[in-house]
Amino acid sequence: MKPYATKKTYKKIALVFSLCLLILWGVLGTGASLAWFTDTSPEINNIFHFADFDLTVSYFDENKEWTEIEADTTIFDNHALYEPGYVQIVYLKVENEGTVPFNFLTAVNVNGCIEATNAFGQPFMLQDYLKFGVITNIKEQDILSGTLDREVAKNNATITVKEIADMPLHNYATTPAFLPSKGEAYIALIVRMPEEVGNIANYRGTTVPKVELGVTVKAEQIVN
Amino acid sequence: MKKLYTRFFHIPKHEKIGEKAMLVRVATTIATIVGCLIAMSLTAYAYFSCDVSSVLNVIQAANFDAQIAITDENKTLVEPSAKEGKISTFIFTVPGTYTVTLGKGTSSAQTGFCVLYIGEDTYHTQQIGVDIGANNQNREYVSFTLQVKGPETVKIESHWGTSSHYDYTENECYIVDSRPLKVIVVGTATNTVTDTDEVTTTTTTKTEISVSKTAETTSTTTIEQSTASTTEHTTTLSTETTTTVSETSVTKTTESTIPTETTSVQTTTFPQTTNITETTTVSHTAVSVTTTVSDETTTENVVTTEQTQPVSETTAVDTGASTA
Repeated sequence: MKPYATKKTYKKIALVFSLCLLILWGVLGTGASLAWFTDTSPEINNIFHFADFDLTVSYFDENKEWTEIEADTTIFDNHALYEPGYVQIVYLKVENEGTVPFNFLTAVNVNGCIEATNAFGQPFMLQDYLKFGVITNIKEQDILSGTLDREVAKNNATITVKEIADMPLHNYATTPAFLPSKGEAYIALIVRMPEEVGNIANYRGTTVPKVELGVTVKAEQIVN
Repeated sequence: MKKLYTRFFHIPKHEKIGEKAMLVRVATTIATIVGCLIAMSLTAYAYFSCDVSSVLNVIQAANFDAQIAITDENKTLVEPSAKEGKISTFIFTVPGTYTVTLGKGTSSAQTGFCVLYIGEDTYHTQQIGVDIGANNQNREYVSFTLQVKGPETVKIESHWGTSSHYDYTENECYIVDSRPLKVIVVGTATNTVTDTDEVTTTTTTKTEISVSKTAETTSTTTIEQSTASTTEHTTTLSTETTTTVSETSVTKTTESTIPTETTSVQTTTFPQTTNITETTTVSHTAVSVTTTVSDETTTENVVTTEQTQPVSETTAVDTGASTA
């Protein structure tokens, strides 16, 4: 028997043995854990199952119906033209269709802006002359009855809307809000151009000033 | 590459495994374990979080650029002398009545208005388009009349928004689209004295010039008359002319009977001295006479001059003038 062959064999055997022990350890550990967390008592008190996490967001479309938002859905009217006093409100419905409660937040992102020339020949960015706001405690009844829309239509923008939607348009996120399982929440997004905006944002030429806006509703599991 | 492989990865068959090769294998194993742990964590996080996005929203602006149409009494369109940005400049040189019509044109904004700059005055128009202050009435045009009395520059600026947000005085500097059309008087007539000038002086000037004349001469008389009036004419007189300066009143109408050529400038200076030389010149100097002359002004100046040769004589002119 050659000594080299014996050494090699020993090494192989040792390696195989180590692997088997590793596998045995894993099996023992997993089995013990499973046994620890299961009980065959007639009253099932300890159920270990994976949580179901599901978020659905819909928007109130022009047909006065809730339409689920997909990846290519635009919730703002892309044909709307903003001028002093113009207000656009978008209503969102957030539903927790999962089995665990979560915290959710609404984020607005300015993804891009096209610069244009104003009446005085100066370059300007449209987002500098827009205001926006988010209302998170709105009721569905107010949305369906058009309460906020009527207030806005009364006189361009009421004081209420002016107070709420008074932030410059920029990247923004609300604070997380709790939503229980099978719960619903309603959000109003308001984007407006104040009435006092003068010819400094009245563009001339062929380049139309634009702002590309992204809206994201994000839900996160509650950490105990 | 072969060197690297030999140094860090190759385990010779019949030799002891190198230290570096061993370290590489251990590091690779650890890195794989760490990578799996990270992937598991991220997967768990992704499983228990969710988001819905709408990223294709576009916010765009409207614009307002009014369509301006100005026509004169003959319905001829008046073109702007300059247009910069939203401001169109119109220069009126011919007095008359002009109709101004402002419309939305190709503006994409729902409403807007115009600001007129006439001298030191600023006018704002009613809303052109949707007037929220008038139950959302849609007003296509705002028209008014400009009564031009004299040369004037008018600038018209297109402005979006609502005119009620800017300072204006209703009824006076606010232009509404009404029937009959609102009239705005601009400019100052060139041959008028200001309406505030009242005749405070009454000047009676009688000038007699008599010069013996022995030969026929043709004299050129230059009458310079300075008054507050801007009417001017120069006269070329024949041999026989008489000059009388009549009393001036609030409305002075004078007829010019000077048969000779008249130009547009007439100035009279008083007192006067007459030096008759070979070419006779008669100059009249008058005290300041304030007259109010209507648009149609005719001047009556009858100058009587008798001239004789030799022309080297110097004749003093007696002028009798009284001012009140």
